[in-house]
Amino acid sequence: MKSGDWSGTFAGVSGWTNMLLTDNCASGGDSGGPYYADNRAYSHKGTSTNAFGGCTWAISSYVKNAQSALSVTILTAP
Amino acid sequence: MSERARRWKRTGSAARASIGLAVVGILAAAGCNAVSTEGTASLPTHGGASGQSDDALITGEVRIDLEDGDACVWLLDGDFRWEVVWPRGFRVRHDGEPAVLDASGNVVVTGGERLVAAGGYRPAGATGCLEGAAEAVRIDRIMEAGS
Repeated sequence: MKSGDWSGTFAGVSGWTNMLLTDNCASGGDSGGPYYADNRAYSHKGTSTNAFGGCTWAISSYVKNAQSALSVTILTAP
Repeated sequence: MSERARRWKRTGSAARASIGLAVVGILAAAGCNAVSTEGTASLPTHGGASGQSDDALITGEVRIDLEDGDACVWLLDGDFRWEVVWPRGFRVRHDGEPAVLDASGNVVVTGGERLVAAGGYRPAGATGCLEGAAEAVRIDRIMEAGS
């Protein structure tokens, strides 16, 4: 499922870095859903669909980047 | 003279005229497919890539406020009022029953109907048409509309 770090423009917004690129289909309401890959926590962001509405790929935000942007620290198990 | 120019010169005048008419016909057909904007007003839209959607869930009752040709279309969700930025090409119909139209001119939703969509949230003030808005939503994909 995981196909490596992705950076670029998504839904018209540029500047995304260290994103997880997957083929995991999602829909409205799935934003924020958790993924874990290669010792990294990610949070689902958005989905790309083709002209027939079929899911083609999805991206998730690297949680560490989100923590830094929001100046918060997510509590983890001791 | 290039080989292409020599071949074009050998093409008969009738054949060249036929090719020209075909090109004109194709261009005219393309123009006939343009969607009329008569009876509609513009909406705040974004230029996001077609098919790409943030996946936050956006729900609410569509409210269409029309005044002197200007329109403010927003969502009411309980006590929250959301400004809305729509996908590219969306407009609001003000002749007849007010409705949101997609880029092809099809009715997406009418005033008072419920809308469920996928997209993202932005700070209030994105459209400037709704005072007291909690936030603005950017709709990327319509999931359900109506009743």
